[in-house]
Amino acid sequence: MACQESPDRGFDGAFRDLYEQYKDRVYNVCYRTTGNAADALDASQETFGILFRKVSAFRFESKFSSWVYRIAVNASIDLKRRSAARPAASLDRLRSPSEDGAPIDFKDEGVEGPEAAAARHELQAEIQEAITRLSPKMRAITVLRYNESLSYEEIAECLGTSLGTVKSRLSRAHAALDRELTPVLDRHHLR
Amino acid sequence: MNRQSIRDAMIESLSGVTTRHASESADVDHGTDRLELLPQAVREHLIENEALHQEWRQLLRQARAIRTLSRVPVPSDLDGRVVASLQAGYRQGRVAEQVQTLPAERAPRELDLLVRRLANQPFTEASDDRGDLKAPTTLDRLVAVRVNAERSARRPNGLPRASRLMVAAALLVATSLGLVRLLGERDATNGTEGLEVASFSFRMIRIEDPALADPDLLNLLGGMSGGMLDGREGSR
Repeated sequence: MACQESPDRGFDGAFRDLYEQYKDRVYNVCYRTTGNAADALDASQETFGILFRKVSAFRFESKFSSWVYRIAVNASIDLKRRSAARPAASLDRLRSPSEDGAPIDFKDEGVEGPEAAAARHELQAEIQEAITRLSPKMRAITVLRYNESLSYEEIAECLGTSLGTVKSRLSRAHAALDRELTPVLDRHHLR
Repeated sequence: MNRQSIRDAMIESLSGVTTRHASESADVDHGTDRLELLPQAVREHLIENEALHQEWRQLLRQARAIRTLSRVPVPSDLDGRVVASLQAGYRQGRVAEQVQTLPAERAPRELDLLVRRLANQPFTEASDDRGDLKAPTTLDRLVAVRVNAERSARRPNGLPRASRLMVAAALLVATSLGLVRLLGERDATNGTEGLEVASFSFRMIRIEDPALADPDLLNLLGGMSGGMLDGREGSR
């Protein structure tokens, strides 16, 4: 991988390619794992900083994308751990993703109408809140499985765990989600 | 199959509910049981056992709910922040490399002799053994005063702390022995108090011609002696 060039001349070449290729995945993992845009931005920046510093040490013993996900998950969990003393995000903030810095996806607005769109945004915010209440490890595994659609093997590689651990942790995540998510889905009459 | 293995198989089968990108969330198959996602053996258990069937519906519901989360667009300021951190990291790395390539200073040979004689002895005690190079006992006081003055002033003067201590020592010896400089280096491990010096080393330098001497040293000597020792007031 040609990532050893000097970044003095700017942010071009291999660094730029790498960034463009992974920024969406990194940011989304960070956003879903930290639960808010400000922390996701910090964690994404940290992820790319680590990525560019250590890319020459990558040994090709795992998939490169797994390595990137691993850095992103660890950066997000570390950041949440460091900011644990900070006040938690308010429910209002979670219910207004646009105010949180994460743009609302308006792609279906024309079809579903403003009320339906607002209901969908509220539901998404509550689902995100339920995910954010999971433990960091369960949160990470849930995000990688259902938002990034990774296989068990890829998740094991990302998190540096065995397949058995992935299975048991995901099972526990579902048990926790059952408690956190069921009231939300009942309230929104989602089957 | 025991209950846990059935549950594990059900959870693993939920991948069929997911698609690669959340932007396809409109394709999430709300409202159906999707039993076809399950392995045949597990499906048979579910048909016979309503509790298991209900558990499958719950798992399906959770997976579908999470799948409805939209993909979040990357904020535009991430680009700038990544570029800035990348360039800052590169600059720091380059400075570290340059520091590592600096040549090591060679200590003068006489320093070895002096250190051997003075090692692990309190300064005043050691100075008593120095014979014709004996330092006045007020030197430790002068050093202490100098250190305290620096600490209270806290103003950068362009010279490292060790150099300022050397100059203080040099001034005293130069005053008492003529234009002779006695260089002292305080042991930094001994804390911050100037008198808590466990060992002290010296180097003798004769200034033959003030015009050829280190200008920083001459400036300091001049400043501290009112111009008597920097050659401006005539050779002394």
